[in-house]
Amino acid sequence: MIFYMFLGKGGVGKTTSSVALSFALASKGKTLVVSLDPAHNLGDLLGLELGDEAKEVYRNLYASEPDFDEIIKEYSRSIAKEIKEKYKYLRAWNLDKLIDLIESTPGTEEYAIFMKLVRLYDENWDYVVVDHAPTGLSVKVLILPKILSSWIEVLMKLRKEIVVRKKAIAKMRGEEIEDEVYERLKSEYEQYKKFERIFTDPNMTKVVLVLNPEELPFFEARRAYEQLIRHGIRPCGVVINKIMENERHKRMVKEIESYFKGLKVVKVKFRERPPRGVGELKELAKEYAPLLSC
Amino acid sequence: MPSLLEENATSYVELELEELENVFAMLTFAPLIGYPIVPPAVSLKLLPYMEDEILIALDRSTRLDDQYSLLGFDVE
Repeated sequence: MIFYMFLGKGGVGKTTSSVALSFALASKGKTLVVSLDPAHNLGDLLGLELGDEAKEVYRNLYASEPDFDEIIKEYSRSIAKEIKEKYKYLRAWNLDKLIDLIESTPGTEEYAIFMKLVRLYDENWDYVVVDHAPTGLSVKVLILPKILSSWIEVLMKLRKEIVVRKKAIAKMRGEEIEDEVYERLKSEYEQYKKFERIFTDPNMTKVVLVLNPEELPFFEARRAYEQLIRHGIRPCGVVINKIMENERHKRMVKEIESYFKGLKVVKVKFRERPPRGVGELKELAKEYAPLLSC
Repeated sequence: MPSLLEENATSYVELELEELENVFAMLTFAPLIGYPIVPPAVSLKLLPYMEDEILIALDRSTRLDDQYSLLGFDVE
């Protein structure tokens, strides 16, 4: 399975680019285009009502718009359920309040999106095209497994010290113990390491930056690019969208191409009316062909 | 039946263990009280399994001004 991740500033055309490439990919294999942007517009673009369940929009092409709030709630509920099962003295607690608290804990959004990607990886797709949330959040999602695995490594070291002492005491008393915390750390570590490998492998995850030939989107794309490179994720393509026939845009396109030298570049002209519906998007897909060899 | 020496040795290891568990709990739950050390996703994942460590950390925090009591000494 191959992930295509579209990243960029809000409003640059990530959704249109994701859908256009998905049509191109559908001719090669079973493709899912999924919006992980809390402000969805994938369904509007395709002219369909979408939900969490993948809906077939064309031959070999499926689309879904998971309920973002529900993903976060589901994550919070799973933690609250485990707490309820394990903590003896919390039985009388109002756990609804705990769920609210977990939902608004910093970092929950990117973790919930990450977990959605983990689930998608286990599904039966050849290609999963992800229309991400604006840059800040999406970069955090992609570097999350690396950051989490590094932290867990530190905690595992300390936990080992605890386990050694716990086992020594248990042995003295003729008991045997298992450390649930260490076991949990180990399984989490394995999962994060696996996804760190997937996100940093250019054959498994293809990151495409989308921008307009304007200064602010270019600045943001550069920042995202540098941050991703720092964490071992090398984007493979750039989509320069909404190019107008004027000198300023010509100059900017040149500058963008020279900065992202070596990456596949797709140049898309500005359209008075953005493409809508299967027919127009399928036509647009031809312009995204360079990304197929990303 | 453990000898007195074994009992003593065990109680020292227990003390050391409690100290490590206290450090582990403080490190793990720092983000939940406003110190962004470990990412909150890790803290939340471990939270259901760390009842004992939290109780130890709470107990330690109530005795912060009386460290000798941990060793069983009365300085008065």
